[in-house]
Amino acid sequence: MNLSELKTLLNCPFCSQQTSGKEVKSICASDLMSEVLLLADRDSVIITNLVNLQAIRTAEMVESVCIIFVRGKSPTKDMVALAEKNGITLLVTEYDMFETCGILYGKGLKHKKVAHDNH
Amino acid sequence: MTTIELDFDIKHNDFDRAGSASSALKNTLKQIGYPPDIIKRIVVSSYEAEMNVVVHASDGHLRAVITPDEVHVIVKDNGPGIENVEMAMKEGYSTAPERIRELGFGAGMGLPNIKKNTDELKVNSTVPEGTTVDFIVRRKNG
Repeated sequence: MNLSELKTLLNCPFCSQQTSGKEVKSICASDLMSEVLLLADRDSVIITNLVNLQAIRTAEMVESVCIIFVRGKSPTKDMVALAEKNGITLLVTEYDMFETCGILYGKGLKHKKVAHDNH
Repeated sequence: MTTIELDFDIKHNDFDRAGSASSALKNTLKQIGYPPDIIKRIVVSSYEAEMNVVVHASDGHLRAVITPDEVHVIVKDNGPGIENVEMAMKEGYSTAPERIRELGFGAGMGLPNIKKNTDELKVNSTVPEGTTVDFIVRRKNG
């Protein structure tokens, strides 16, 4: 799945930059940034309720391609600027965390470790 | 490649700039061609250590010494120090106040995360003088 498909699937009313055909390889859903630092892979998508600069910094450290903010929470201008500097797309969806994860899981996107355990 | 030394000041409670030292370290490592998986281990560790200073300590300092074979990071703060380092190394143990947890940190994963991502880790702390987190991540070729 690529970012454009993700945006459509989640009916995102906000997108910080033109979504590209960048491929999404895995998902990490958490409000704890230390957990994201531990679990997220490169080229992953982070799903979170946490709307602050640390969410962007965390995505930068693990080289995530996108952050999805759930329940319609919009990022600030500072967050958008830092994300754009690092090539990270920010999406906002009205779905909550559970629904967002369920929709993406249903489309076959999983966290790498889950996929690995199934092998 | 010669040795590269980077130095950054870290300000307590400065959440706008928190992570900027690790960001600069990451950019340097990318520029000199360190492997992405090694960069990730280094910057995840330095970011956790940086956040520890922003969240818990008074001001501090991050020093990174980059050689072709390894990256050595020393993060030193001016207190108040960790009462029980052994407990702080355990996942889930935290003394962070609620306002820090609301920022997505303070879940008791900082030092354990650093341990998981580094080849060597030393944590020295004296109350109330301060804490030094000193770690090495080696570049393993091939």
